[in-house]
Amino acid sequence: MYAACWRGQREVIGLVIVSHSAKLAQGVYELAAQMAGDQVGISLAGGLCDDCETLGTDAQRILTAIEEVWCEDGVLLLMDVGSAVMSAEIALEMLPEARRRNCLLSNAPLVEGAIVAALHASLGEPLQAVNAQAEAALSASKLG
Amino acid sequence: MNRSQEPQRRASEDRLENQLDSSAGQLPDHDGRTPSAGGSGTAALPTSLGGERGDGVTDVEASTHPQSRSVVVTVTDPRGLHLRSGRDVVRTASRFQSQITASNLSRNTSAVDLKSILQLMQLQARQGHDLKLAASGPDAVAAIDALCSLF
Repeated sequence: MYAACWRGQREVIGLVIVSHSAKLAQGVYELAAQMAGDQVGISLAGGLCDDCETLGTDAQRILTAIEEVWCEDGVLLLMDVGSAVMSAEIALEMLPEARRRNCLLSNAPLVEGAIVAALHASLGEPLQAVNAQAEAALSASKLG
Repeated sequence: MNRSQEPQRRASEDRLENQLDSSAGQLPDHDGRTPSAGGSGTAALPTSLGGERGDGVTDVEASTHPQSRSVVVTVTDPRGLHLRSGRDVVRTASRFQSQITASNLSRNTSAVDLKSILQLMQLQARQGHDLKLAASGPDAVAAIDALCSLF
């Protein structure tokens, strides 16, 4: 049921992309996957259902996404805005305590955070270090 | 950033070195990129410590000891240093133990950690920009050699 987190020669964390929009989640996934190659398990929880365009976030979908990439080394959740965070919190509460401890909600902006986290996760960096890299985007000036 | 002060200290040490780096000619080729791309852009740089290698890379602190090395490379990609090429730079830099920094001389940026994609993107490097790469550590020479071929 749970994806193996042992990829190649080292263990890497998993990533979950949470967005109100399934299309946005898919687009962010494509960016992140290009940075990570096949080194990192990345799952999506976008919109309220797979094939509809209803915007929103759903804790059960987020929970399923966590379980798809869950591993001992940890799972980092990246959310877009507002209720995405609340739904992610509820999803974590639905996880068994032992698994919840290895999950972390990131304060990083979604696009920058996913790109940065995917690359640094693929380098085998631990959960907290990957999140620190992603959250650094909060204070990084885009315009130089 | 603490490490940004180190190249200055090393630069003074390297001035004691009279010999240019004899290994410069062994660097990897640039996969068909125009060798003259860095010509005018590197003319004002302190080449007295190194030399034009004929491949768009100018040695600034050519040193025979492996603890430190820095070079200036010119971005040749028409799209500049974009996300995918930045990914490859970070991946390569991360293979080495040395501390590796880069600054964009054309934009007068401060030195950033080349093992961080976020910091790398802040260089805002466009085609023709000169980047100074500096490595410090046990595999500094190998790190710079590997990175040079990516620009």
